[in-house]
Formats: sequence, C-alpha cells, structure tokens
Amino acid sequence: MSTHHTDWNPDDGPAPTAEELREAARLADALDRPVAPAVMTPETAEILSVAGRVKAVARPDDTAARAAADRAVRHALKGSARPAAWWSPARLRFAAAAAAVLAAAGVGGREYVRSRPPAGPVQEAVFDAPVEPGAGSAPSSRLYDHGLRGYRDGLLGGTQ
Amino acid sequence: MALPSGPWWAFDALPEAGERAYGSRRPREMSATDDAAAEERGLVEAAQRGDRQALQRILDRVAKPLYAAVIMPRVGNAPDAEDILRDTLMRGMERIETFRWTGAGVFPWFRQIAINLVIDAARRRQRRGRMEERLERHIQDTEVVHHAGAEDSLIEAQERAAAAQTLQAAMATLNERYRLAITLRLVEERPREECAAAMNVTLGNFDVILHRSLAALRKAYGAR
Repeated sequence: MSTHHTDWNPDDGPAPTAEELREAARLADALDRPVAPAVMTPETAEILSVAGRVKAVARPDDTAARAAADRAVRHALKGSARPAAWWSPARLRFAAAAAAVLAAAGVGGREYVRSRPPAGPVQEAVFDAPVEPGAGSAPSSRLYDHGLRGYRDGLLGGTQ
Repeated sequence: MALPSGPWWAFDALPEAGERAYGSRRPREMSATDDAAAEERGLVEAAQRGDRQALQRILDRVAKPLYAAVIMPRVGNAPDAEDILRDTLMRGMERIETFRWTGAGVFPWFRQIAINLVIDAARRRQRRGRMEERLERHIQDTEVVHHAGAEDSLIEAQERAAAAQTLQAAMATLNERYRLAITLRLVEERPREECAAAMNVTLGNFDVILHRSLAALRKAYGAR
C-alpha cells in the first residue's frame, strides 16, 4: 500500500510503501554503524552485504584487512599446534565425554544388577538333581555358576 | 548533480570493463622474478615437510590478499569474511601436502579454497538465489594469471581489479539515479544529508532510493 509522498519524484519509480520506508530507514541506520545490528530482516541483511561488497572494492580498509589477516593466521597456526598436546581442548572434551559415558554405564550396570533377584543359597537339590545330558548340567558346573553369580553381585554392589 | 564521468571511483590501473584483468595490459612489474618463484617453491616444499615457519610465511603472504580482495568483495561482511579466511587457512594447512606445484604459485590454490568456502557459506545461509550462485561460478571461472613469488600487494591488486571489473559492469546496468546514489553514499562515503541534497530529494526518499539501488545491484551482480 502506497503512502502519500508529495515530495516523491515519480521518475524514481512508484512511491514507497510504509514498509519500504521502514526497511530503507533500517538500512540507512545499519550503514551508519561500524557493526551490523543483530536484528535485521534477511532481505535487509542481504542488501547490507551488497553495500559491504561495494565498499570492499571501492574503499578497501587496509588496516582492518591487515588486522583480520593477522588474527586469522594466528588462529590457524594455534589451531594446528594444539592437537599435539595431550591437554588440547578437543582431547579434553573427548576425555570428558568418555568419562561421562563410563560413569553412566557404571551407574546403569549397578542399577541393573540391583534390580535382579538375589541369588539364593545353595540348595540340596543341586546335588540331588538327576544328571541331565549336555554341557553345564553337571552338579559341579551348577555350583560354579552359583558361586560366580554371588561373586559378581558382591563385586558390583549386589544385595548378597 | 551529474554523474562523474569515467570510472566511478579512483582506482589505479583499473582495467576497462570487458577487458581481461590480467591480459596484455598487465604491468611488467606484476611478473615475479625467477628467484622469488624459487623462494616460494622452497617455502611450499618446506611446509609440506612440516616446517611450521615456512608455513607461517606462506600464510602471512596469502592471508591479506585473500581477505581484502577475494573474500570481502564477495561476502561484504567483515565478521563472516574473517571466519571464511580462518577456515581457508586451516583447510590449506591441513591439505598442504596435496598441493602440487605449478608456475602460478600457491596463491591460486588458496584462492580456490576461499571461493569454495564463500559458496558453501552462501548455500548454508540460503539467502542467495541461483543467479548469485551463477555469479560466484563466473568469478570462479574467471581466468586469473598469478605468478609464483609475486608480492602479496601485487596479487591483491590483481584480485581487486577483477572484483572492481565485476562491480563496474554490474553498476553499468543500473539507471543513472541508482548509480549516483550508490556512488555518493558508498563509493565517495558522503553523509546521507549531503547525498540527499545532491540528488534533490528528502533524506527519507534518499534512503528509499539507496535501498532500491542496492536491491537492483544485487540482481545485476547475479545476472553477470
């Protein structure tokens, strides 16, 4: 919707809408600032970047460019040196993540073991049960399994 | 106010639009000496063997031309341009072993990395249309002649000339008032009030004209 612009020259195209006036004012404001404002429509941001491209070609700022280049070189060299150190941020992050996973696994494992019913005492039936064919069915194997389970529960915090 | 005649801004040795930036008009001093080329090759080979000092000298040499003449004219935003430069240098360092020496030296190799990252960044933002991607491809395809061992200031001048040529050609497609608005405000960096007075419009109307001019330039950039 067009607004009234008695001072608008028709040779400059159709009279601007209220929205266009607002966008134009935002752009003018952004061009006056050394740092682009954080809140901007994508369209205005894109037009602002076109203005930046014009300035970069027509009015290059050598001092700012030199400073940016030096920072980038320092950053790049520092970034490549760090991985050699055992305390590099990337390695520390990995170590922290690994420790968190191990801790979670430990807690989870304990909870899992706790949730299981405790192993009961050795029953006479173990000795009296008839021998069945197949590996592990011998009374000695069944006694071994019972002992192993008790040991495991004790070691992992079972209720035995 | 009439448009300034000739080039819209002072730019030494700016090639005329339509002419190759690095053709026969290239000044003789742009060519590097054999000694300088040999020195650059030595630096590259040392860097490939893991010599960090050599690597640093290469980065020091290419960083500013990359930022000022390759990345900024395509990005137009200093923080984004610096991020892309950092990524370019990091990627170049990681892959320096894969670089194969040609007579053009190491700068075109870094330049290609930078342009690829500029295009990647534009795609990520999804702000640019297909026309602008076409522009980037056009710039990427632009034949540039670099010489191993050339001074970084000369490399930068070559790159800036190419960027200026593209901008000038895009500006030539705009109508006169739009071109004047951009020239006054961005090229000559005059205050808004002065620009508005020079164009015989109110301040608010000048803002609108500039906004429309830059929107038109954005399209013109893409169409080239």
